[in-house]
Amino acid sequence: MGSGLQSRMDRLFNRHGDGRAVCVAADHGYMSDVTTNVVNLRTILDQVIRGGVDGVLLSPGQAVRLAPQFQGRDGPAMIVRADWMNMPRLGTSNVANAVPQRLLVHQKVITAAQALELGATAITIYLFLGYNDSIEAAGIDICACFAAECRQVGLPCIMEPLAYGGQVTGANIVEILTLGARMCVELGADALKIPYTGDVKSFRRLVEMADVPVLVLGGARSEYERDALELFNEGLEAGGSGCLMGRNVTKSPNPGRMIEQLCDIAHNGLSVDIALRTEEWDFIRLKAHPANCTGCDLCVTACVASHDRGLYGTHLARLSITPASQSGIHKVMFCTLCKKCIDTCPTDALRWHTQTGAVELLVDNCTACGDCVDVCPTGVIFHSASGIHTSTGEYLDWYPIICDLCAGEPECARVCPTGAIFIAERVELT
Amino acid sequence: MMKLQDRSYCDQILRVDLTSGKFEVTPLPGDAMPLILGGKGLGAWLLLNEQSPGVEPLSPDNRIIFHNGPLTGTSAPTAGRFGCTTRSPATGTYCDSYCGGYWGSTLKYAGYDALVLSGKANMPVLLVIDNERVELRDAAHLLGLSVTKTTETLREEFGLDWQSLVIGPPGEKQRNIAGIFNDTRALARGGVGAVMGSKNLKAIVARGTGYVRVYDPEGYQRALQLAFRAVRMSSETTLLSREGTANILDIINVMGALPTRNFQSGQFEYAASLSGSAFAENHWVKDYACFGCPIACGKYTRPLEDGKFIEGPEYETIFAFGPNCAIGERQTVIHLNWLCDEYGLDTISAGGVVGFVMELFERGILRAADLDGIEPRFGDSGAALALVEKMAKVEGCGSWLAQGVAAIAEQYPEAQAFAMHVKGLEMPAYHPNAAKGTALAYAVSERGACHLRGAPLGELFSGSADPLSIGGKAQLFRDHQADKAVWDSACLCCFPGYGMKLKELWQLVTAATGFDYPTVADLELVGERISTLARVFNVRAGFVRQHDTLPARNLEQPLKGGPADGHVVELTPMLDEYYTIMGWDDNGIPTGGCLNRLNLSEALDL
Repeated sequence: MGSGLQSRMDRLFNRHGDGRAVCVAADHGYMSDVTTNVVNLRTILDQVIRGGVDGVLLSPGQAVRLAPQFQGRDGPAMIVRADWMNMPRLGTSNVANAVPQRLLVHQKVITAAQALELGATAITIYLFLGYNDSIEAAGIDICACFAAECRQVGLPCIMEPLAYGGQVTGANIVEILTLGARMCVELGADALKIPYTGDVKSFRRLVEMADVPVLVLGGARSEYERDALELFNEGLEAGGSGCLMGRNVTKSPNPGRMIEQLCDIAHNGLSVDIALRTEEWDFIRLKAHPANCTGCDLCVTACVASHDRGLYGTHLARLSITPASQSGIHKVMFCTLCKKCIDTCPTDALRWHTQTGAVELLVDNCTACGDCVDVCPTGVIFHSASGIHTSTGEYLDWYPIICDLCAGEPECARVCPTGAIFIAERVELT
Repeated sequence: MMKLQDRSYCDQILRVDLTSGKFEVTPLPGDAMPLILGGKGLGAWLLLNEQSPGVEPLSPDNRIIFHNGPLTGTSAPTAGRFGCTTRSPATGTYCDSYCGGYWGSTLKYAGYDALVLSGKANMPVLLVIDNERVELRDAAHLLGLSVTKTTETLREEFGLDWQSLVIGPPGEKQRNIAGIFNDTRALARGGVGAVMGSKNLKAIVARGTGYVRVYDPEGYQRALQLAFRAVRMSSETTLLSREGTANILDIINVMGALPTRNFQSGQFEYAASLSGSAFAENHWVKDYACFGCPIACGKYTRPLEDGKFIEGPEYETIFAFGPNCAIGERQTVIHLNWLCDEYGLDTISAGGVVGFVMELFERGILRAADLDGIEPRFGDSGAALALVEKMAKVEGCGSWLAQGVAAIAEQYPEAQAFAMHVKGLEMPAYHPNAAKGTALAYAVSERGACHLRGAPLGELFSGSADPLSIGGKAQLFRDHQADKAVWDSACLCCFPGYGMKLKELWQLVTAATGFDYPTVADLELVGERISTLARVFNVRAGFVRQHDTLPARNLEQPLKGGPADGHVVELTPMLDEYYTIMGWDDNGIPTGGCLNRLNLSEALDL
């Protein structure tokens, strides 16, 4: 290894001495729609740099325009996209920009030496697998050419294998990606950018096959920022070296915060839960936007599954969605912590849980009188299907089933795809 | 083997004989379940094993089998999906139709993996399933009522925790394009509504308070997390949430594959006014999700001046009544959609009939006198509304028009070349001449022209292959067909498949059932087996190579205009290649070797 290759690899992967890199991909501007994240890249770049990003992938033109932001000893590494392809313009993912192109086109736009002149620390190039033989052969030609150029000037070459096209099926996609990873390395890749295979086991195998640093890419943005963090964390767990994530960061309402969270996970060993937590809390309250409710009942089955391991259903869930006839608004019925049940209970069997703030049942005090079931204004306290023994040896035919706020992480709010039921308050109980 | 109840099944098939009014509960074919999974697989298995292929579709002996899958009723994305399998009166083939809504999960919670109906009641009846209590009730008061009136009446009689499946007048009168409806969602294609009508069964209501128990709870929760994440991290599903299924209309038009004027061309001049974004901006007010669906591609429209509103229109409906009839007004499309949903028609087939009749009229083959004085020309909204209303109410000419394109073409042999159907099922919204893999799927699919049995639509809207080339399309279709059969058996909707792939589904299925599918490819093979079961039924019913074909408009007349200008479908080479890949003989009949490879020889008693 000569002419600066190792120092550039270190610049990218060893800013924290841990062999890991949190990188942002912002090279879509000349391949797909000119979306706001593309137009506002300068501002977004400021934010992610302040968040501590390790590297940023840019198109050659943006690399020129935004070069000043990379300056300084602690500045992030600049990665330059050295090729172009029309894949995003072929499909519905960018309808606004779709043109009647039937075939994948892939070509070089810059040489390794030119990238080096722009101040690049590394370049990335695609390798398409599974489209057709001629595209695959052309891609191999481009990758081999870059690998040779990069070796000459000491520039790390990050290859990005993509399994895309008619030969790719649900049954073979992971195999194709794994094979592609190895092909890239054999062609001379110094590192890989690659889609996550969906689970740790198969990704670990891919990372082992690759035997060079592997950066996971993010794909389309999820509205749940947790998704990107979990995916990233799993990539690390499988032995990956970090991420080169685009839309999940650049389309986030707070790209800087997202980078901080990714860095906390990669460099500071935080779990996803801890990285996401913005404040300490022990009291929460659920709220609903019924107008957002699509009636899908995911919250209801999630409630049952979280309380009865391995069981899925809607009966005796601790919340309910009242079906709207025709286009009417669904009613989202859940425990609003109104405390009427606590006030009504004649035997002090219900109380305020000191940690979660949920209503708690003290079975020993319960006489199964049913007053709480009757008084609940939202109708979400139910008779249990089976009875229970109290610690004093008495047997109750049934006991009230009451929302326990899942000990602070309500499943219903977690699974709701539209934010129709959500955690409205996280404040300390005083 | 561990009990099926601990593997996400109920292990109960409810069988109702409408002739005697008796019912019984039988277990699932336990040993076969790993081979067929459930859903489509179970339906095909039961139909093939229990019904002789010669049984006429509208005779009492024809079974109609409603089935859900192992994932139905769990928290999997779109786990409310269910289907029905029967012999179709429109095609005479095996026919399975699927539906979202809330009835499928309800049947599962009531304790049944399948409901097998046979016989014929001697008066109109309503089937009531309240967990283990089952009874037939008089349905005289519902007779002749529209779908929504029937549904509302049942909701008032039974309450909000019941779900209904109903037919409208076209179903009662056994018309070939009648569907079965759970509120606004339908088992639409193939005339399944007519089969229900032939049994004198107006509606089925169900309530269930049971649970589904998965095999590996931790594994399943983990698989759910991965599946939902994959769905959320997909730009295609995001687009579906925003613009419904209509989001693809733009790109299909750009690709020259939007069938226009009864498939005379592949681009529509007013496509922009029918796009998903146009409907979103002007009409849609609220999202609708089926049970367990995080996408919510369903959209309610703002009521029109006359107060009518719909949940829709879907892409297929927009095609059928829009470009296919050269109608560019959204309000007309909404009205036509309303008529179909209100009375219980399949929108694809109804629109196919209207477009066909318009062309017949313009060519002078049909006259106003044949059509109760209606003079339908392309682009005539009034005529389209009048025709669909007559079909919906089964009045006048609507009575024979509602038998579908193939039946109409029987009477007018000179119209055969542009009767756009395969085996009697009207063609969906992708022009075969501009999408060769899809053309192959239309020709071969077990229920006739169908885009949902493995048509590789990605050739049109994800650029995954060149749509105008036939190269590799046989393999592409084979892969998609096997993949789709797994989804229909599991049984989930195809839309999460824009994000999660067969791998995520495999993780869900193996955790839910504990069946031994070591690799994703092993599960894909289950799909191929299930498609083959359907093929075997068709072969036994007399369907072979000569039936795997397309109208002359696709095979002989070059398409005019657009990117596919000058293209016809080169079907023969694709068909040869496909039969070879599948291990079928030249006549399209699965060989002994093929059945052996799929472990079907013994099962089929060959």
